[in-house]
Amino acid sequence: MRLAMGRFSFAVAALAVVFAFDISAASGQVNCNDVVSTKVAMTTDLVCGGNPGFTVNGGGAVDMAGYQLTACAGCTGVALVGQAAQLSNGSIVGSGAGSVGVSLGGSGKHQVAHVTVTGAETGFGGSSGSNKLKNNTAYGASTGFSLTGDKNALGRNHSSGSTFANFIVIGDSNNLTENTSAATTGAASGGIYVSGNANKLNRNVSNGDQAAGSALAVGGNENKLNLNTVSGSAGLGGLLVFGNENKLIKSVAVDNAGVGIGISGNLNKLTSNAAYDNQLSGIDIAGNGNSINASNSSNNVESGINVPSGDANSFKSNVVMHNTLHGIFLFGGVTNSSLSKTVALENVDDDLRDDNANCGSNVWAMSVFRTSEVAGFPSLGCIQ
Amino acid sequence: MRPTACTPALVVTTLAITAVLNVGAARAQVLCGDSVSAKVTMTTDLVCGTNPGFTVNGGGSVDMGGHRVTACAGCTGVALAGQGAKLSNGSVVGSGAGSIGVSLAGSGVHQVENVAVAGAEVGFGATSGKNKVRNCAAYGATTGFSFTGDKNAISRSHSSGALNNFVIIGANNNLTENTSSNATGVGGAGIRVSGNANKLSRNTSGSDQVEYGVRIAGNGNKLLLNVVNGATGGNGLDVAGDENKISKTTSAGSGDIGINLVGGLNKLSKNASYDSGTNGMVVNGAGNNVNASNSSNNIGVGIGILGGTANSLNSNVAMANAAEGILLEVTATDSSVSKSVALDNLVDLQDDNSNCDNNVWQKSVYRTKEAGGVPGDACIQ
Repeated sequence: MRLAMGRFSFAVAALAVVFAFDISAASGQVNCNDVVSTKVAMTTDLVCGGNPGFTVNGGGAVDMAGYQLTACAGCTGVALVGQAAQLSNGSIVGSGAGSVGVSLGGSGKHQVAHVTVTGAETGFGGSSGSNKLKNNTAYGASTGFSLTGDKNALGRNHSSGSTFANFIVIGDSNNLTENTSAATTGAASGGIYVSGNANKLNRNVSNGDQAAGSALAVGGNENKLNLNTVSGSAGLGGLLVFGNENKLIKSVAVDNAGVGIGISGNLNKLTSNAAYDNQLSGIDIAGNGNSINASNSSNNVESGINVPSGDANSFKSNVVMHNTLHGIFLFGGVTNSSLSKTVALENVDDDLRDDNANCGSNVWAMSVFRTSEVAGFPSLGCIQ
Repeated sequence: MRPTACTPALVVTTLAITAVLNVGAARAQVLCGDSVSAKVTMTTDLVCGTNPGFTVNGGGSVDMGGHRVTACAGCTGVALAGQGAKLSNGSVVGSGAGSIGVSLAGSGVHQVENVAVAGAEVGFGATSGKNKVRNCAAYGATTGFSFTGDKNAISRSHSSGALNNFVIIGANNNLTENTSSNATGVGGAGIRVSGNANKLSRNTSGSDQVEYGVRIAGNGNKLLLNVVNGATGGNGLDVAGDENKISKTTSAGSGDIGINLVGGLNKLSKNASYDSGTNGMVVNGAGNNVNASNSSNNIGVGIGILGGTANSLNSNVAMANAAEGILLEVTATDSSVSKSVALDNLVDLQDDNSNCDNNVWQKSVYRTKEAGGVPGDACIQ
């Protein structure tokens, strides 16, 4: 017996040793309702009746290893809690109102990679920050990715077919890089929607979003958008920015049903953007102290650059060609704008138009154009 | 009397001095039929019956000053000849078969900037090299920009509505930040490049309705950060050739294949293909590398190797494709597939070769697999 007990003791001791030295190896299976605090790899599919299906605590890591979790109706598939939980390599099927595929809660700093969610009302949702989501996808949700928090990083994720929005990111200092949004449907509000300050959006692409709102909308201040592309959207606008001191560089807005690029706010800087073939104006500016430089806006159904309101906006070295209405159009009441080195040609109505008497307080200089109109008078000399 | 006789001489002398001292300033107007060799600014529109409307010789420079040249039917609006001619700041209206808005001929090295062409059969047509075209636009042409030559640089230019918006034939050409949209017709392309060692960076093809959004035929070309959206008429990006490098291309909403590659020793890295009408990415050839790419939500296969040997797929993601996530067809041999993540596809990983033949699959994440018609075959790892 002693020997047997000794063997048992030895076995326990041996296992303990294994655990002590092999802590980096994933062990065991995840079951429904589990709360995981270590590194685990799934070994079978799960169909869970509990809410959430299972939980990953801070410091825990679940490699789904290709397996699938089916959550109960209205439930959360996987909940990440605490700080720095990890989830990877699997798929989650959700259903019903209130359902979430992966929730990122607690104190954030979670990592989610290579996970696909279908059917849930929210694919990836959470109210925490400093999370990293990479190479995930959400299909057929109401909202594909819905994150409220700061310093979240979303890279190379994809969402399509959402009925509300493919991406909603609310907070500050978030980073969206190389994500793709496509084919939102119905009365969806937007493809990619970011609200907050100091967020960075780089090289994201929206194609064919049928949202009633905007394909890519940013609301807030000091956000930076670089090399984003929006095309084929059916809603109000391709790329819309609301707020102050935002920077847009090398955005491209092509063939959208609304405005190509719309700015509403102050002290924003637009550089080297392009807007073509949009069904309203190519670039629309409403606000004060904005600068629009080196941008091309051509072949749009309305004006190339449309300025319905604002004060002290600056336009330099822009090219506006072949727009169906005007090349650049300053509405009456727009004041203290400076426009220089514009090239405006072959616009159907006026290449350059200022609806303020004698250009008001606006200054036009060094423009290349053929036709102009000032407060109803063709070719008045204040447009140079 | 003597002062009167002397006065014309004084006036002539004064004019000559003026001309010598002011040689750097643009002078006078261009007229139809002119051959310009100096620096000139147009001061009025031209309606020309001559072909070309006018010519700019090497060393000459015409600032169109916002004015327009209307060319005769089937004619060329402005011809750049010799070497190093310049044209800027105006528009050209053409019409009729054989018409060209701006031709760049001679020995090349011409510069064209801020010029719009409408109505001509070819908007900008080059048969020379080392030209620089920037911020130009062509509308309603059969071909917007048609360039045959080497080392041409076209940037921030736009063409829409042509059968082929951009046609570039030659080597070492550079296309940067150009936009093609709404190309229409049978067999056309938004951007078509034929030749070797060309570079395409940050160009956009949007809603081109023709056979290809972007079509590349040749070797050693480099494509970086190009976007092809909504090429509903056919393939988004179509590449035929060897040793090409394609990085960070996004192809979304193509009517047929998102990214189609035929050739060998090509390298595809970090590309994305979504919502294609058939397959997301297709490779047919030998020795190609496809790395770190995403291909998801396509009506067909996510990433497919249709034939060829020694292809390598590493760290790719294929999700929610209506057919296979990653597929090696029976004619794909000696290939390796590693570190794939394939989920929610009809079949996540599939090798049509019995027991994978000599293809190697390893370190993949998937749920379903099939090899040689056998579901769950262990050769797929």
